[in-house]
Amino acid sequence: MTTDERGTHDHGHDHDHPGTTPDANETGYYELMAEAMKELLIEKGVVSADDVRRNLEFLDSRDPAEGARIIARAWTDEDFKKRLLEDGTKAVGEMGFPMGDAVLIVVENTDDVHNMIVCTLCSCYPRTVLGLPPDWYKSKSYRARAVVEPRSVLKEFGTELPDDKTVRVHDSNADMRYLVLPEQPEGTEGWSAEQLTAIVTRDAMVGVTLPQA
Amino acid sequence: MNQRQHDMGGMKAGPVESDEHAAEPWAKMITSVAAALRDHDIMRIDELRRALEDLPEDIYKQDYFERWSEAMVNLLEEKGLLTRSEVMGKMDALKTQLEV
Repeated sequence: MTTDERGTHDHGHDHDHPGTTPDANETGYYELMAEAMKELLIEKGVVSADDVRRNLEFLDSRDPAEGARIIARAWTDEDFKKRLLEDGTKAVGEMGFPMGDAVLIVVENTDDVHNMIVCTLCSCYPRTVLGLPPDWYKSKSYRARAVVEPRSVLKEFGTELPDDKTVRVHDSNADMRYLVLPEQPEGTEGWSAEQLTAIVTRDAMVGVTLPQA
Repeated sequence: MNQRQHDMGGMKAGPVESDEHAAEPWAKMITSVAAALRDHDIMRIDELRRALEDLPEDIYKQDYFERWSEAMVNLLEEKGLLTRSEVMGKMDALKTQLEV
């Protein structure tokens, strides 16, 4: 520490700032913990290295583009849209997306209603169709505020909705995941499913933004 | 009403920060280990959720996957599949390997 830093820091002695847990502030501590746990489980034959690798490959293959294909199909195939809203799990299963133990509920934005999703209790997210959740989805700010002041949260994402539009917030849980079916933007009538897929963003499917043509 | 730490709906919190970074490789790895345990019906998602909710407050406040690691160690210890001291021992061994 230089004299200057010491001056502005107002300490005059070297010490660690109090952290959450002692060792946990060390860089790589949790990375090491995770690796240790994995190796122990493999050594003990609880899981195999192959089990872990297969799951990693599946995880790496998940992406919001998968969800976008579902939305684009719903916009261009009225029958599919009907099936998707009736039974999301079954309809995305048709497209080859396994929901595992969880149920998928697709909620449709309309002229009168805007939907957004959150998980206040943990950070449940439709990973099969959107990949891993973004940091903000897991943050205390989003989890705490989405259910009490959704319009303010939406504004922070640059989304301003008319006052007479109902905002519905859906709180996910371990067994039940949501996906927002946004409204197809004006000016995209007659677009192909491929063209439409390109404008459906992750945030639009979580319901914090609107797709733009 | 006594609201538990994980039950965040309605708690006071600041603005949502939209900057984000891609999941680190180890975060994906731990997620895959959890999924493999689920495949074998050794650890269910609800059990992991309960283990997360039961973490001490100072640990629960940490990053998402850091929290996951702590909760999984506790849960696997509870199930008799490994112990925290085995994990700590393995961490030391891995550290030594890395330093060589």
